[in-house]
Amino acid sequence: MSSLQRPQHQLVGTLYRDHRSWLLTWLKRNVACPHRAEDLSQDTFIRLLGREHLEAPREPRAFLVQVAKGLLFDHFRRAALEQAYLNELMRVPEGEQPSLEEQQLILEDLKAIDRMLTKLSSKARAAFLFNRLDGLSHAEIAEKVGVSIPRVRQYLAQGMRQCYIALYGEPI
Amino acid sequence: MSITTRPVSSQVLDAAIAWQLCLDCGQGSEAEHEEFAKWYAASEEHARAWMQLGMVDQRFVHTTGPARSALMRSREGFGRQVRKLGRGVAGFALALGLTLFLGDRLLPMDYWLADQRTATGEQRTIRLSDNTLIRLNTHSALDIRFDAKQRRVILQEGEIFVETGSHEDPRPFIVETDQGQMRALGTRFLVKRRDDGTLLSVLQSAVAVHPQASANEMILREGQQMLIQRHSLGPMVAIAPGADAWMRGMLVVDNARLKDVIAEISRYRQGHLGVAPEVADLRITGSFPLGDTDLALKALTPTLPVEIEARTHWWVTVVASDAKQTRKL
Repeated sequence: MSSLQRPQHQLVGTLYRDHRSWLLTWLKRNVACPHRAEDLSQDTFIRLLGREHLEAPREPRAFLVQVAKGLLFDHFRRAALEQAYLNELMRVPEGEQPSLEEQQLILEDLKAIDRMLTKLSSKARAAFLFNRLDGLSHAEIAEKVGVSIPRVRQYLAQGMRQCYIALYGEPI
Repeated sequence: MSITTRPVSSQVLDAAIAWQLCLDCGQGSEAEHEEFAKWYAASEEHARAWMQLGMVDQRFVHTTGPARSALMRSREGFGRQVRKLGRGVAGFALALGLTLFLGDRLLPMDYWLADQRTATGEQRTIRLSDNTLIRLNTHSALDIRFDAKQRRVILQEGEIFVETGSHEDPRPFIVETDQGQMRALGTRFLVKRRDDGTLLSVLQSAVAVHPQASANEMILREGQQMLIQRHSLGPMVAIAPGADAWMRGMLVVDNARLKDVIAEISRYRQGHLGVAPEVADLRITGSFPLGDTDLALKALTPTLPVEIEARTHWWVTVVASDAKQTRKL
């Protein structure tokens, strides 16, 4: 039945008409690049169109901001990673820097890893990275992160589980 | 889905993770190794879980050098961005459990950094890689662009105090705004963005300045102040007394118009702070605490014929004292 689809589209259409420019202003206040803000405002509505259930929100703007914030967090996370990588590259002598193409590939890898670790707390994330990237022992990590060794093991287990789920899906 | 990528059961995954932790810490005894070998051989699913976990490690093999450091540090940048988000939306930062405060934090900063921001009511001091000290006043935003040729900071919003560091550094130190460029000549100075331009106040030594749209350069010396606009430089005048009092948490004004004082106080305060037109041009002299703007507002009432009308904490107006009052602050 085509009318199943329609109220939803209509609702998103109304939200778009009434609040898009307001949302854009909100986004521009929070994102340095105006083009990025434009993209994010479009993405917000696209995400709504993709929802299976959508009811007319009582507070449309609060609702839109909530959806936009989710997108913003993803954006910030990616931007922070990219920026961190570029910052680190600046410490490398010019002759030894990877080519632009290699940089792109490395960044893609980094983003993939970062996505795998999204759900970890910052301490768990740090513990897991110290272990995987630097090969630190559980005791060394415990000291660096400031938690007990059993807690470190818990963090590492969480990290492995999250990575596993990202690569293979939820265990059955 | 191929057999090697099919997920295992939750129990088997937990067992595989436990084995990895046990053998990873290097304490696995011979007996444990034997036991692991038995577990591994006991079923196809066990072997698969082990192999799959090993594949996870493959993801990290190339993450060395800059890539490794980036991954370790990216959360710091993310935290900054989230704080910035709090600036736009009152209360949101608080909801995240991040508190905004007025304090004297000194953060050592790395060689390169971007997007320093303070929230309303917050002040922060940062030290740049060349040892320059910058103090950001309330609600200020700064980009830092150091490269081989220059040390450039871009004040996007608000106000900063600069005390340049290494005098041996051959690279010029430049503060930029939309209106102009200021080159430090070994010095301490203040730069403030205002609606009508950029205000430069030189506290020590000298600063060379030119407007963005003109190469016409002038040198401003200790004790002098100037309003910079895109196309022109204003007259040189003596620094207003108390121009740097904000660094001590005070607003000091001498015969200032009430509306200017209120505008200044509102920079340190969330929500709307207005002044009724009939009292806007009253003159006032005094000093006000910026860390407690409610107190600063209260301090107006004994000396001026005004009162503070607070509809809510977020909507406050200074009105003539005979006006109908909603609720006294």
